Amino acid sequence: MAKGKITNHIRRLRFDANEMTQKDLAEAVGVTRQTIMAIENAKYFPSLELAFQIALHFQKPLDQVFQFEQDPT
Amino acid sequence: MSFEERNAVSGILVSLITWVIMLTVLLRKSAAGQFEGTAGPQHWAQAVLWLILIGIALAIVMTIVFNIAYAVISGEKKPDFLSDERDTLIGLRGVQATLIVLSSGVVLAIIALAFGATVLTTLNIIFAACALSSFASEVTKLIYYRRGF
Repeated sequence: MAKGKITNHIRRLRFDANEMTQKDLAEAVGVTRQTIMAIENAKYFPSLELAFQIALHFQKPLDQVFQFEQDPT
Repeated sequence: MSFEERNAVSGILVSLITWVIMLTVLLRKSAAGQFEGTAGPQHWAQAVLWLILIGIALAIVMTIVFNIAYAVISGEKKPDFLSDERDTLIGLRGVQATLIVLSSGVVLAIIALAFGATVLTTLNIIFAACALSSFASEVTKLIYYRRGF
């Protein structure tokens, strides 16, 4: 399987959404604030379901929230 | 710190305290010769059953005390008891660590028995593996909470 890096724009999207807090987003998608923090810092990669929920919350397509950068091999 | 992360920290403390209590009690009883003779393993099992009960009670009390202390120190008015997919995944890593340590202990006990160790030594190895596996599980969980995946 090709290796790569998953990045996201959650921090910027939160900022654009009236400077929404991590806690507010966590409550909206039903996870802990620590999980949102871990996702933002690329210390945890969410399940597809949670990724879709986050994207839906910001009313953005998934690929505008999460990106996959494939390693050049 | 999430609810499950707090539990991992209190779990480490509980494991350490329980480990010290168990080791002290078993060594003292062993030095007094209570585990000798044909009834030795039976006395050992009775002592260990009591220690397991004490360990469970201690774990409950410590978890409650730790969560109260955390709420007081952090100033959280509404403590969060939520558990999510990340907690589940980290919990599974903890179970994995438990199984590795526990199965290693069982294999070690069988090897010891094969090389002429007494039944009591074998039981002690299995029991130590149980205690260590619980500790390994909590430490693994804390590492994943802190370091990430």
